[in-house]
Amino acid sequence: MNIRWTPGLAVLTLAACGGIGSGVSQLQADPLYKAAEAVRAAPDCAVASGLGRSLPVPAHGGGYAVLLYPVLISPSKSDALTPQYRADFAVDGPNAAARCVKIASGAALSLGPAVPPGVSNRDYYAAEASLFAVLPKLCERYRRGSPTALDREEASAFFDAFQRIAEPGLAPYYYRLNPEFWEWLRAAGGRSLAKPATP
Amino acid sequence: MSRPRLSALAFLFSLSAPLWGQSTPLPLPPKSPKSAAESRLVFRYPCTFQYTDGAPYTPEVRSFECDYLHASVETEVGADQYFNALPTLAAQKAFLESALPEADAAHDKWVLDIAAAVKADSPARLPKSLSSEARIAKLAKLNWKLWNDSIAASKPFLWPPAQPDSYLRGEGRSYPDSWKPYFEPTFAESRGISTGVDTTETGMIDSAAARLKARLSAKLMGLVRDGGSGPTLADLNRAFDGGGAHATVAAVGLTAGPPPSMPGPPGLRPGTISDLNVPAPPSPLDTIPSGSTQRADRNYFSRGPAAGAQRLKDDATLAAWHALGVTKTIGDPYAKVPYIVQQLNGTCGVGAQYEALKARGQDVTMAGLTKTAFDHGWYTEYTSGAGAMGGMYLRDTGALLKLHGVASTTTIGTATGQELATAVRASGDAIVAVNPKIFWNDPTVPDGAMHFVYVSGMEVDNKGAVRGYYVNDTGNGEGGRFVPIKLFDQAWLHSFTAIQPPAPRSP
Repeated sequence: MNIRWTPGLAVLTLAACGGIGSGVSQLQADPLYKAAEAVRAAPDCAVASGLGRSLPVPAHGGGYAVLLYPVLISPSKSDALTPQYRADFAVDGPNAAARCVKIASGAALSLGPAVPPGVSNRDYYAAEASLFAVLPKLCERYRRGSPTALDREEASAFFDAFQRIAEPGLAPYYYRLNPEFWEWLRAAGGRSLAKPATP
Repeated sequence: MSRPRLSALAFLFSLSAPLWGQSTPLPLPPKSPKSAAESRLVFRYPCTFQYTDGAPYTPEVRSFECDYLHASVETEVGADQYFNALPTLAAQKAFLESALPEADAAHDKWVLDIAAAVKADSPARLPKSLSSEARIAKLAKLNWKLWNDSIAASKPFLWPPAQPDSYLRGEGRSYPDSWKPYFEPTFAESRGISTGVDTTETGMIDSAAARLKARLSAKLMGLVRDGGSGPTLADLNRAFDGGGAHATVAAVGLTAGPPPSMPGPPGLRPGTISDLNVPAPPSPLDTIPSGSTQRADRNYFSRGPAAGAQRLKDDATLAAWHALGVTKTIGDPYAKVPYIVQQLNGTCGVGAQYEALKARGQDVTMAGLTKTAFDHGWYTEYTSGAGAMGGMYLRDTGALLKLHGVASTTTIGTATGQELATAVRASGDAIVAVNPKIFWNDPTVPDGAMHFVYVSGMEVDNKGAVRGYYVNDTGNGEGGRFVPIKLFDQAWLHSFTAIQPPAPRSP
């Protein structure tokens, strides 16, 4: 049977099937990404809609840690404000529920853009995928002890991805999540976050 | 989360923070005993200068000169009290003889600077050959630059407004009337730019509607009756679904067979497509609205011209599906479009509950609900004053509904698509948490952010599969946005609030 179909109508029907455009996050099934997202559901974490979740870093003693910080969205830009909580979580195992600790008091201040300027969605998702891919392996190496020459490549890959998309103004807060990890990273790959002036 | 469409006054507040604290501060006058008999000048807020015996100071101090004093005197007490505390009449006069010529010179400069800004940022400079999308984008940038330039020019006269301790607890933004004269030329020019944007957007909507009507009423209906040569059923399958989960026409409820008799009037209602049985489509061509109120509420171009063009395409696709009879709408989302509000920073959770309550006939206001949420501790404020922001606690989504007698259940982080679909099928709506970076396709938003939207309906095919959800988004004021299921599945955070269905309407 034959149906006469105008190309325009075909375009109309196809248009609705994917307006996502230039790249989408592929991390929804990633265990670490899911665990980081699950922080919001933890009874211990008073998560509000204004709070965004930072990138995870290995926590001291096991698991990972993220910052929860207000994201102020204005026309054409978004600002990261003073982080309000630190959340520690494990990817699996008996202590999988996140634990949150309030780390700020008083009015939150703007700490600059929430995404480094000029990063497209496509570049962001690519860097994010790279970070989440390398982070579990890097974490294993970190937990083994002092870094070796074999750790350099992964350390470098992690820091490249981190610098590409991490909130620039939150650097001191990321450092304080686990200073030991950032110093280990420096020893492993030569590059890391600057040690903040105030502890 | 919020992404307010730029209004002139919202712009003023979004940029007002850097203005304060940039004038040279004046030292507080030293305290000294004053003679009760000495005549002195009294500066009464906002702009009256009199001697203590009531005689006016001459020459009269003009209002822009007072604005200059208010803006430039930076002490805890304000310009008027500072002036009144100067130790002697001679000191007061010396102050005015120094400050007023400065104010006059600043005003002369303002006149020139504002005229230059209006001229430089005029839309007349744009090339005529721009596409509609490019024109809208350039006009929006021009408007932004115009306000930037105007604020810079007017800075010497703009002094901080009184602000409530908690902005979000207050009833709305406040700013002094004294600001308005400095922006009169800018308001006029900005209105002209906004009119240009509205005209272009309306043209895009009209063109999309006209193209759709031409295709559906002429091409498709002609196709229905002709049954002539052309693409095969396999071509139709590929074109219809784009290779998705329902890759065959049969999978969406169309079957081959002898055509039934043609019901209804000619025009928009086809009988059959060649050998396929098509159920009679229920709705007329209503997905792209023709009325100005619905167009304004739908706010197609809130996220920019490219996003608006995509929404028009999605709405045209909906109309095609309806005309083919392959999907139906659950929840009457277009009737809920008027409930859309532009929320303040971080009141998306309040906004979604506001819309759910309005859909149930409740007489509530955003300001009232925000204050209630704040007072109960369901909503927390991270910053206060102009440009403040906060957030509704995830666990308390539904608290405002409960307070107004509407039951709900919130699932955080683990909800499935099937659970959401079941809930929306039952009540016609839901409140859903989404990742705004994906939902708005916005590169400036980090991936870890969160935002609440009000789902006002859904589109299902003849097999019951969800083809997309309709959303009222208080973050950018978009009403009745159809979100195809592929995008929705990527963007939602598997957290939602199922809401008790509305009471049936009395006949």
